[in-house]
Order: sequence, then structure tokens, then C-alpha cells
Amino acid sequence: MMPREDDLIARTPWPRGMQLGSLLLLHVVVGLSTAAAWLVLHDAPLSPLRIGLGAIATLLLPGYALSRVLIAVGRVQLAERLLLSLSLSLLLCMATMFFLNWLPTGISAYGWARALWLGTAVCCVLASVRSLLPIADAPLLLPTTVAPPVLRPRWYLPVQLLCAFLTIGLLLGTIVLGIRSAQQQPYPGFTQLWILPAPTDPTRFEIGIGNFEGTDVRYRLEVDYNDRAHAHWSQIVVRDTETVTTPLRLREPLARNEQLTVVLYRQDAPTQAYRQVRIWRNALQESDM
Amino acid sequence: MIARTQQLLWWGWGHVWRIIGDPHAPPRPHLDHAADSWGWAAPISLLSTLGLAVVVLSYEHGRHSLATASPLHWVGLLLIVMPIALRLLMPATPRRERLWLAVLLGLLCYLVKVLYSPLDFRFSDELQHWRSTSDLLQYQRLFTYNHILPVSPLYPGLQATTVPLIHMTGLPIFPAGVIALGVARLVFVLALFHFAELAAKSPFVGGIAVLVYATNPHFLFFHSMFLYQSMAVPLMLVSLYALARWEQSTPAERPGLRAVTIFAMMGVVMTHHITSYGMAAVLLLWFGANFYVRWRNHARPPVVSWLVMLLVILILTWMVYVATVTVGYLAPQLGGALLDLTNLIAGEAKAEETFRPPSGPVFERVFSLLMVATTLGYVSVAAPVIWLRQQHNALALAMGIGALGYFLSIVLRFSSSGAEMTGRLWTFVYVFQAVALGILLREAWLAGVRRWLLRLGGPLLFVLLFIASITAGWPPYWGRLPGPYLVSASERSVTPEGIAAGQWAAQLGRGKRWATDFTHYMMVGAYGAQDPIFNASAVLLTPTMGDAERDFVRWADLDFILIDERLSTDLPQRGYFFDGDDPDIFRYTEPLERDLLTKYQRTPGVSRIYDSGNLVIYTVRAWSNNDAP
Repeated sequence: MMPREDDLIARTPWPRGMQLGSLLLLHVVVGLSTAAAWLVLHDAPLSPLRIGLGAIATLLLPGYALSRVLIAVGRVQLAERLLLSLSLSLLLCMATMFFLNWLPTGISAYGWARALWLGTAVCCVLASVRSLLPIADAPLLLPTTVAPPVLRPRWYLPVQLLCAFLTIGLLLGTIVLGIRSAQQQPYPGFTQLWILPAPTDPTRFEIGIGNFEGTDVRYRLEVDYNDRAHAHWSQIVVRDTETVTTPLRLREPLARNEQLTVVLYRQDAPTQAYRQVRIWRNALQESDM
Repeated sequence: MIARTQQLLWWGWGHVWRIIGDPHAPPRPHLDHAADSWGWAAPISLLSTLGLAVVVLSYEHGRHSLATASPLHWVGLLLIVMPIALRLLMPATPRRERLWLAVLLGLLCYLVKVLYSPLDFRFSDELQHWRSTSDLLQYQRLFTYNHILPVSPLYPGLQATTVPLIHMTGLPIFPAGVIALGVARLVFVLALFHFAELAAKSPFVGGIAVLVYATNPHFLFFHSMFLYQSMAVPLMLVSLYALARWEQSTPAERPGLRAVTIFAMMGVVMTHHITSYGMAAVLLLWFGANFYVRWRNHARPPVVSWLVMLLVILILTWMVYVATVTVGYLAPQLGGALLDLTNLIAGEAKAEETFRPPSGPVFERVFSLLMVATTLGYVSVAAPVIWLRQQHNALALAMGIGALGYFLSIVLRFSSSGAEMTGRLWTFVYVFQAVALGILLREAWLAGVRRWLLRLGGPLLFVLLFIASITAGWPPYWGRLPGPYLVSASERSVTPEGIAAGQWAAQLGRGKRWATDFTHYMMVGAYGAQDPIFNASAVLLTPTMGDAERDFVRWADLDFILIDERLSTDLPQRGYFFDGDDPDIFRYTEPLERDLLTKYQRTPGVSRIYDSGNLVIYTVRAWSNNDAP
């Protein structure tokens, strides 16, 4: 089979400027990768800088460096280089994961930071060596038979730029609107009530209330021991999205036929049981299988 | 035999040509020129992004249950696709613009899914993989046990790309997953474009291929979800692209491209089982076509032969040493489908027993059927045209023959697990179809088919296929827009109350056994790190709790039962309440009786330890062991 698009390929020597530019780019890659690893190793807080650097140091730079080792500059077009960089980054992450899993330290943040930095740096060194080697006799992918220039009206470029800016603005606005819309989706509020026995002491229990009603709520809590009032709490104020827990202790463990019932009331409907839980003995018995 | 078939095809083509051919057609149009221009990329991008804004507006209306939501949704989706489709179908569009528009289409479709639930993962498959990722972060080791999808941690490619992003950026699982899959989508589009371009040696075909793949019913949502297939399919295309490039490259580039091909192939094998098998099938077909071209034209020997063998060895090695459970996971589906088809052919079963027709509004069903008919039509035309016109191009021949796999997918649809099997097959068949239809349209332009037919027919075809891809895809009509809670409706049943219950369950300790409905199966399994079970109708759908139920609880080793009392308020949208052994699956005519759901609180010894209004959690182990009254 004939080489691909042979008519578009020029048998041109490697331009010196291109060689220097590609070396400079490899230095930038190492610099960015180092900065990203430094942020992780120093436990930098979540910030746009850490997100941006971390994302490209994981999903772009390692693959770019490896692609430069495998395929020299000028042999693939920009879109293909992007494709190779992203896909090889994904694949390098997979390989790195197996390497980290094999280490006694396991798959940790520090391990990732060091391994990705090391992988990127080694690939950059190899790519630099490759770019210094004499050029192979194979042709570089530089188009020579460019299509004739298309005459555009004077308004073409300004309109293109305007549309591009509007597109970016609209896209960002749409994403923000989409997130806000989901955050403000109306859902019925709810309150959680639970009771759990203590793991070791059968006389101790924990009662919890979680308020997700969308507003602060005032509750009243009543505990019945075998249908007899045992304890009660009035005026419990739980702030929205907060949970409160309280311990409960019995004099002796629940017997076989005994139960503990907890009823929660809202202060705005004080006679209507709002939530109810009930526990018999050994409620959280462990499996013996 | 082959020569006779070709003669017959040429004869048929001659007759068709008399109808569609234009005797006054101008000479070859500039379909594949490499003009270095953006063309109309910016205005088209603006229009399509406006479509995304309209889709987001429809989501907003859906969340407030407004009647305008659905029309807005359709308008928005068509506004995203139509300007891009029109431009990609034009013969004179420059290559750079084609590539940009293909990328834009892929990314906007991805954002349609992301903005459906931009705060957390809602789809059940996503939650299964969320658990694997969460386990990996917690234990810092590969191959942990994930009860809700045991095969997921054994194919850790998705986690391998999300977890480093979480560590390097400090982001939680959801945004990191969205970014990783966004990159995977970009890789997918770039790889498909370049692969198709190499297959047909035409950027026109590259753009059309992405457009056609966007009409795959699983493209808009399923392939954008946080699941291993969404990561594996792009890597498969990278491998195919690198292989195609390798075949057509100069010797200096071959070692690098060979490495990329094999590296990507290994990535596919460790990311998703079905994709690796699909890739083996694609390579096998390519090898067959290569062999045929070699035999016919005495060209150079095929390079894909040993790659097929390498891939098969990799798949088997992975399956034997790492993912042995894959056989048990896939065999029932595949075996069941084959058995159903065998019974149908032998006349031992009727199609209505195994085939479940599409549900939904009439117009949606009509579109779905039209899609099948249209796709069968264009595949039937594309395959012979490619056979006649691309005799020297093995890759194009493989694509043409592979496109006929659509017929197989339709046959599989008649089995009981047909919908799932068909969906899985379409992931690969659409790659063939995408390239085949691209080549067909290119041939039509070059051969001088009447221009009005191409200018009108092309866009109409894509409008039809795109609308049908949504009506036939997931989510179904009731879940296509976000909105209030619906009973047994997958992502539409996920509410903050359910998520909170799942998160609360985490404090009970990992790995407890639960019985619950499908939605909360995922909630406690993912957020609570519990081990829920399917097939629990014996304790969920009985009117009382007696000895039989006690025996079942012991046998299933159950600890907890989570009941959603809203199941008594409406019919299940999915057709069943409990996954696995629901006896009235797809036959419900009324909601569950409330007494069925509240029987536990009338049973002495069954503790009711959690109550959030709609969701109640009971403990049953002590009761089953007679350790309580």
C-alpha cells in the first residue's frame, strides 16, 4: 500500500527552529508536571491552580511526553498529537496503577504524584534525546500542496471571533445554569430518626435525628419502654442539614419480649407522631456465617 | 461465486442508478480537499451551544414539572445536532471545520448527560462503579470486592484514570469522574474521526462517521455514564486508529504506532470485557478482509493477523488470572439469548413470549421502528456499494461487511435479554455502520447522484435517525428529563432521602446483607458499602412474616430490609418493583398494597431502627434466629 496522503508530504529536513521549539516545550512539560507534584506532596488545599495543574499533569502531560518518544515532531498533525497525548495519558495512568499496587505503600496520593512526575520526566528526557538525534530519512508531515487561499469578506474574521467569544460565554453560562437548576430542584424535605444499640453494651443505645427539611425544626422526642414512658426531650432544635444524637441507657438489657419505642413529634404538630422507631433485643446481631 | 455475485450487484446498481443518477452532474466535487480553514465553525458552534442552553432550560422546566419541558428538550437536542449535521453533510466543508464540528458534537452530547444530574451520579450503572472507585480510594489496593457488581473491580481501567485525578487535583469522585470521562469522550471523537478518515482516505467520511455514531441510541447517555465501557470504547478506537495509521505509514513511524496499538489494546483488555471481545471481532473481520484483498490483488501480507492472536491471548490471560468471574457474569445472558433464539427457530417458543416490544408514546414507537427500517436499508445498500467500489481497501471492506452485523442485533432483540444484548452489540456495529454510511454518501457525491436528493435526503435521514436514537435509547420517555420522584424509575427514583439513607447505612459496618427495591439496592450498595441481594421477593412481596419468610431470611443470611413506602402509591415505571424474581414483572396493573410494605412493623422481634418518612429500615436477623419474640 502507498504511504498515506503522499501528495501532502514534503521531504523536507527538520527546521532548526522547530527542533528548538519542541525542546523548549518538553521543558515546559517537566516544569508543569513538577509544580503539580509539588502541590500534592505539600498537601496544597483544593484550589483552581491545583485542579488545573493536577488535571493536565494526569490526563495530558504524561501522554504528550510519551507520544514524543514514540512519534517524533512533525510526523503527526496537531489533532492527532492531542489524541495520542490524551489516550496515552489514560493508558499510562493504568500502567502506573498496577505499578503502585505492586508496591507495599499501595495506591496513595503521594505515590501517584511521584510516579506520574517520574514517568513524565523520563519520557521528556527520552524525547529530548530523540529530537537531538539526526533526522531519519522518512518524510515529515508538512503540507506543501495547500489548497488555494479562500477569499473571505472583510467581516469574516470579526464575526468568527465574536461568535467564538459568544459561544464560550454561552457554554459557561449554560453549565452554571445547569448546576444551579439541579441545586434548587424542589424535593420534599425529610427528617431521619434512628435508634442503634451500642456495639458492646446491651444497656446502651444511640438515638439520632437528622434534619433535611430545608429549614430549622423544633422537635419533641418520647421514649417508651414496653409501652411505658421512659424518657422524653422537648424543645430539641435541629438546624437544617444537621444531625444530633443522644445516648440512652437502660438499667438492664432488654429481655426477650421487651421493646423500646422512640416517637418524634414536630412542635408545629405536637399530637401527631412524625417519625417512629422501635427496637427489640439483639437488633444488630452479627452473622455467624 | 464471488464474481457472479458482483455481476448481479452491478446489474442491480445500474437499475438504481437510472433513478437516482444525474446525467448532467458536474465533475468530482471537492469532497476531500485539505483547505486550512475554519469555514463556518464559529457560527455553527454558537448555534449548537444555544441548543445545549435550551436543553438545560428544559431540564429546569422538568424539575418544576412544567408541560413545556418536553418540547423544549426536543428543540434543544435538534438545535445541537442539526447545524452540525448540515455542515458536515456539505461536500465543500474544509477538513479543519469538519474535525472541530465532530469534536463539538461529541462534547455537547456529553454535556447533555452531565447536566442531567450535575451534582452526583444517578444512573444505577454509575453507582456500581462509584462503589469500586470508593473502595479503591479507601483500601488503596486493586481488585477489592464490590458486591453490587463483582466484575467491576476486576476491570479497573476506569478507576485507574479517575483515582489519580482525585489524588492529583483533590476533587471528589463525581467531578473527577466527569473530567476523566470528558477526556475519554474527546479521545473517542478524535479517534473515530481519524480512523474513519484513514479507512476511506477522506475527511468527509471522518465527519460523517462521528455524525452517524451519534445516532447510536446509547451514545447520548449510556456512553457518557461513569462506567467501564465509556472508557474502554475510546481506547478501542485509539487502537484501531493507530493500527490503520500503522498500515498506511512510513517505516519511520511504524514502531511508535505499533507501540500505541498494543498499549491501547492492553488498556481495553483491562478496562472492559465486552469491549475487548468486540475489538477481537473487529480485528478478525479486518484480518479476513485483508486476507481477501491480499489473495485478490497480491498485495502485501496483512499486519493484523498476529494482533488478533495477541489480543485473544491477552483476553484469555486476563480472564484466567484476574477476572474469572466474567464467565459467570456473561454466560447466563449470552446463553439465555442463544437458547431463546434456538427455541424460536425450532418453533418451541413464540416470539411474543420472549420479545418485549418498545413501550412509550405512539410517535416514539413509530420513530424507533423507522430507525430500524432505515438503518437496515442503508446498511443493505452500503455493504454492496463498498464491496463494488472499494475492492482494494481492506479496511473499508471490513467496515462494509461489519455493518451487516446490524441484522444480527435485530435478531437478538427477539430473545428475552434482547434489549440489553442489542445495546451491547450496537456499540461495535455502529463503528462499522458509521464508516460504511460515510463511504456510501461519499460515493454518492462522487458518482453524481442527483444533488437535490443528497442535499435533502442526507439531513432528513439524520433528523430521523437522531430522533429515533433518543426514543429507542436510555433513559426512556418517563426519565428523559430530571424531575420529581417516580416509583421504580431508576434515576428518577433517586432522591436526597434515598441518598441520605444509603449514607446512613455506612455506619452499620460494611458488607451487611440487605433486601430492598432496585433503586435503594444501589443506594445502600454504593453509598453504604453494603451487600444487598436481588431475588428477595419471598420476603418482600408476602402478606405476612411467617416460617417460610424466616427460613428465607436465614437462607439468604439477611440482616436488614429497607422499604420504600412510596411503592404503594403508583405503578412501577420499569415494569417491576423488585429486581430478579418479581413474579408479576411487566404485568402490574396496580401499585403494591400498603399492608405488604408495613407488615414488618406488625411482626414482633423485627426492629424498626430507621424512619425518614418514606424509607424505613428493619432488622430481621434476631427475629429469624428466634432470638426475639
